Amino acid sequence: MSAAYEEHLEWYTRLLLHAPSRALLRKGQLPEAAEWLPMLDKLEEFAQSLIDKRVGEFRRALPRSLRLCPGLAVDYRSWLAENPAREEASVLPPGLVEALRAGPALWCGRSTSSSPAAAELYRFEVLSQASRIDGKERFLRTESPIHALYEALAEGPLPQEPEAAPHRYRFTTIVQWKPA
Amino acid sequence: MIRTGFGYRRPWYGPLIRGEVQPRVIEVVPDHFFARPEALRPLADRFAIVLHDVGCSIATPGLDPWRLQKLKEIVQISGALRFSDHLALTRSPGGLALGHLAPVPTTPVALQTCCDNLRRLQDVLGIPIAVENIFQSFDCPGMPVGDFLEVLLATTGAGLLLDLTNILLEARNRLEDPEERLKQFPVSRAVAVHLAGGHRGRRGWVDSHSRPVEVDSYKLLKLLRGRAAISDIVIEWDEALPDVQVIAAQADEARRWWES
Repeated sequence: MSAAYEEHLEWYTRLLLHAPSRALLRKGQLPEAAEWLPMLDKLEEFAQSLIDKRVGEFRRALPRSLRLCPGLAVDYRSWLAENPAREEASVLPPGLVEALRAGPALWCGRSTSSSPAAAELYRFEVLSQASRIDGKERFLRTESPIHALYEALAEGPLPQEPEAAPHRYRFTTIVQWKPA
Repeated sequence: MIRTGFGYRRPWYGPLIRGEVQPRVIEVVPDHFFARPEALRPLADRFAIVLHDVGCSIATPGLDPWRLQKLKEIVQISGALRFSDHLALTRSPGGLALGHLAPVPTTPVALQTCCDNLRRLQDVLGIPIAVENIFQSFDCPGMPVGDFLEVLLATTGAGLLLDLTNILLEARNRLEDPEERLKQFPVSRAVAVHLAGGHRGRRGWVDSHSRPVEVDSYKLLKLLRGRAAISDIVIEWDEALPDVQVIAAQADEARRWWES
């Protein structure tokens, strides 16, 4: 298969994943860039729709974390713009795959969280859902009984932060825990 | 007799298994069963199944071997009558994932790539393959999509899964006559039809699969009578899912339009 075609597809994909105008400017010297310029508005619109779709999937994967920490979706949107998704061999839905991928970055030095338990809740929500779907065994250690916060966030007013009490969790298709 | 039905969505699993509705075909997205393929068996025991994928990225050189293996397993469990995917790009050769269906560069090299991938799918899955026209908000430089599809389907023997609502909404956005736009596609190669309901967004019509099928889509459906050997008509609905009875009624409505 033509290496030039593969190179073109790579460029085209980046064009759609990043702001197209920037990508086109970088390729401004090449003849094919001119062919795309009349479509710039449509390309920008399409690129935006890709990000909106990803953010929607991310939101649906983490309803309780988003309740506790609404700024998470904004953080994910910013991070995604610089860290486009890669194809993964996974049986998990795309929003959950992204939540797993983005987790470490989102919780490293972030400022939008007002809750010390929010990072633990995020991990709990992602890992429990992932294991429920794919059956893989995963573990988590927390500084508080995060399962209680998770359950309390299902509906009603926002709950109080749980008292500090370290717990260990084991996720498979079910969740098991014990005080650490 | 034509089979009419709808795309399977998880909330409808119970009502389908309990026989609350009786579609003549169910279209399944294989990814929904990748984690537990055996969960498809109860549906396959009750309904004719067609598979509709979104992840093959047939314009990308080389199909993903992991996905191919999963698809093969799903085909075997479901006894599917047909497998389809889109004329679309969803990942780059280097592995970047778009997460959505993007228009394909309609060049000769892209055509060769699509042909190679369709033949590979035919070999591995061993059931009829169809390719669907996506909703295109823009066209890549190259030959017209309809011409590209014509050559692709003629070369590989694959069928056309004709999304009439995509054609209708594209025509509206481009200020074209829908019937004239339909003529740009290789209608005679159509083996199945998709219908859905879109909505008008801030910048034009969107193929959102969120509303009932419009009469204008049904009118396009009637134009296919006698021009294509259609075996099934599937209603798609992805957002704001209604009760299963609502979508089943849409499938019945499609059959009435086809037979009227």
